[in-house]
Amino acid sequence: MKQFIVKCCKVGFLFYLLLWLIQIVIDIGLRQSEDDTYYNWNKLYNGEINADILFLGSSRTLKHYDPQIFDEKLNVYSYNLGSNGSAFDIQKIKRNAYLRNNSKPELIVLNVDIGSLSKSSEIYNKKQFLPYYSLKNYKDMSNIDASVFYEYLFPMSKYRENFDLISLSLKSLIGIEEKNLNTIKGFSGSNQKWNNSFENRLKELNGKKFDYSKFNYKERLSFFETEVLDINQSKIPLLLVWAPEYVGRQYLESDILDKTIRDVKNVANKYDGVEFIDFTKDSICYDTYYFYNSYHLNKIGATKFSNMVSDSINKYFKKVKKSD
Amino acid sequence: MSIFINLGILGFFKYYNFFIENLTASLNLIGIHLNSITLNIILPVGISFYTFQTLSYTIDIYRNKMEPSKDIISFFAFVSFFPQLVAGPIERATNLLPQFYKERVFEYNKAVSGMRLILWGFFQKIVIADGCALYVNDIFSNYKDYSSLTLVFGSIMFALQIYGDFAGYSNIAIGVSRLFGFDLMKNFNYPYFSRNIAEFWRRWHISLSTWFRDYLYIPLGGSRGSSWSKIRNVIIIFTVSGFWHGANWTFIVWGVLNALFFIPIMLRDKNKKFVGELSPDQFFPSLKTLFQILSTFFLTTLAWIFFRAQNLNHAFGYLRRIIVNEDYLTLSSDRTVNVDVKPLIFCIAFFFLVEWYNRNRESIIGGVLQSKKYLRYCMYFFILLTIILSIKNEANGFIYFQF
Repeated sequence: MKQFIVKCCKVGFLFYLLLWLIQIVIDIGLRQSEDDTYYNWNKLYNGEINADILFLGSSRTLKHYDPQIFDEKLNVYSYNLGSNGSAFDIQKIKRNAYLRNNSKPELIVLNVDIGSLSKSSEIYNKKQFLPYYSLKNYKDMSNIDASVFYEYLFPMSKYRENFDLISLSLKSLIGIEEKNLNTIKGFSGSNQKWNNSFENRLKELNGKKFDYSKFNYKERLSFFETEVLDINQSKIPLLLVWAPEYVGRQYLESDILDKTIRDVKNVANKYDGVEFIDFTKDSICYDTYYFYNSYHLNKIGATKFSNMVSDSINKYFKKVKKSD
Repeated sequence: MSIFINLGILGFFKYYNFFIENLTASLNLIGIHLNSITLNIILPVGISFYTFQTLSYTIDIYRNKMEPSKDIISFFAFVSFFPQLVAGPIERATNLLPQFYKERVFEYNKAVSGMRLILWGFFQKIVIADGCALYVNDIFSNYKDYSSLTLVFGSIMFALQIYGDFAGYSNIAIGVSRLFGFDLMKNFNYPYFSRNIAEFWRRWHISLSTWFRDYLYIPLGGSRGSSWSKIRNVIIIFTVSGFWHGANWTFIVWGVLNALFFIPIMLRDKNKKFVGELSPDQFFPSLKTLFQILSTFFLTTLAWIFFRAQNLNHAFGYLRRIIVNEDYLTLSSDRTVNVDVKPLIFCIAFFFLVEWYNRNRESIIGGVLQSKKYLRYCMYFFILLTIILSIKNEANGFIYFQF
C-alpha cells in the first residue's frame, strides 16, 4: 500500500506542476490578447494607461464617459475603466490593480448609482479576471465568489468551461488572433436608439416600484464611504458623479433615490478633495432621444453628457487652482 | 415472505401513485368516478438497486445456490455496500457476499486498475455526460423551437449522455471497490459498438439484464417453447425492465420498443450471433459491421427518446417534430446553450476512439499503450485536464440515482 500511496503522490504532484505550467502559458497568451475582454486589462496591468483623468464605475461609466471629448476639451489624457455589471466591490479590484501598475491620476471620476451601491452576488463576466488572478486581488474576489478559493488552489480550474479562452490564448501566442476591439480608450458608446425595455419592465411591474426592501442600505453606504476614504487617503482628488437616469426610472427608484443622493453628497462633503455632481435633475433626463434604455445614454447622450462633465471638471480644476 | 416484503416496499415507494392514478383514470373511462388519493412519497435513493440485490440473495438461497449468511454485519455490508448502493452494479449475493467473509490484503495492481477506472468514470460523467446534458436539457425542453436536425442531434446527445452518466458511475463504483479489495461485476461492455439489439442488451447495464435473465426470463421458459411463448417472454422481460426504471408510461414504451426490436432477431435465431470479439483482426470495422453498429445505435437512440421524455405526449411530439418540420437542416446547437460544441465533439471522438481501441480488452485505459509508459501518462494527464476543464458550475446529478 505504501508503494501505491507514494506513487499516487508522485504522479499527483507531477500532474499538479504540469497543470500550473499550462495555466501559466494560457495566462501569458491572454495577457497578450487584443480581444475586447482583455485589451484594457492588459494595458492596465502593463502600466500603459497612466491617465490624467480616470473614469471608474459600472456600465454607466463604460457607456457615458467618452475620453476623447475630455482629452480634447481639457487637454488631458483620460481613460475609461468602467465595466459592465460591476458594483463598487468589483470596481475596487480594477481600481487597485490600476493604482498598483500605473501612475496616480490627477483626478478620479467615480460614477455613483444605486446599482453600484448594491452588493455583488457574483463576479460578472468573470473571464475578464482569469489571467490576472493574484494574491493581491484574492481577498476582494473571494469575498464576492467563494469558488475563487478553489480556483487559486487547483490550477486550470479557473478555465473550466472556457475552452474558447484557451483557444484565444493559443491564437494570441502564435500570433494568429483576430483583433476584436469595440472600445476606444475604454469607452464603448452605443448607437442604439431608445428601445422598449423600459416600457416592458413597467408592464411587468404592473404599477409597483422597484423593491429595495432587501437592500442593506446602511452596509452598502458604509462600504461606499470606505471606498471614498481609500481614494482620499491616496491623495487623489475625487469627483463623484451621479449620471443622468431617465426620469421614468427615477420614479421607480424614488423609494431610496433622493435619500441616497443626499447621503452621497454628505459623504462628499466630509472629505477634502471630494466633490459631488448630480445630473438626475438635468433636462437630459426627460428626453428618450439621449438614451437607449432608462439607465444608459446612447452615443448622442454620452457626447452631450461628456461635454457637460468636462465643463464641470474645468470649473473644478479652476477652483482647485484658485485655492492653491 | 422475504420476496413479498422486498417487492412490497418497492411497490409502495415507487409505484403506488402510478397505479392509483392510472386505476382511477381507467375507471373514469368506464363511468366510475373515484378521487385518487396519491401520497407525497419521497423515493428512497437507490431503492430499485438494493431491493434487487436482496431479492437475488433470497432467490439464490431458495435455489440452494448459496448458504444463508450467518454473519449479519457482512450481510448488511453486502446490502449497503456504499460504492454501488445507489446506482449499481446490482451485485449477486453469490459474488459479493463471500468477499466480505474473507480477509482482504492490499493488491497494488488491483488498486492501480481501480484508479484507472475511477479516472475514466469521471471522464465519462463530467466530460461526456454533463457536456451532452447542456444540449439535451435545452433541446428536449424547447423541442418545438428547433429544426429536425437539431432534434436528431439532441437525441444522439442523450444517448451519449445516459451512457456516459451511467457507465461513468459504474466505473467509479467498480474502481472504488477495487481500492478496497472488492471485485464488482462489469456493468457495460462498449454497448454502442453492438451489431444488433440482442448484443446491445448483453453489453448494456449487464448487472440488470443478467438479473432479469436469471430470475425472470429463464423461469418463464426463456427462449424455449413455441414462438408465441418466446415472444411473450421477451415482451414481459423488456416491459418489466422498463417499469423497473420508473413509474411512467415512457419507460414502459421504451421497454416495449426494445422488445419489438429484439423479437425479429430472436425469431430468426440470430440473438447469439454476435458473441465473439468485434473486428478482432483489423483496426477499422468493415462497412458491413459499421452499418450494423450504426443501425443498432439508431434503434437504441430512437428508444431513448421515450426514456428521456417527460411523458408520452412529449415523446411523440418530439418524434413528430423531427419528421414534420419546416426546417430540416439547420443545426442550431451552438445557439441553444451559447457554448461552443466543438470541444465536446472532440472529446466524444476521443472517447469513442479509446473505446474502440479497447473494444476487445477487459481494461479500458489500462489497455491503451500498455507498454509505453510515458504515452500512457500523457493520456492520464490529458483525461485529467479535460475533466478539470469540463467541470460545470452547476452540478448535474447522476440520472440513475432517481431509479
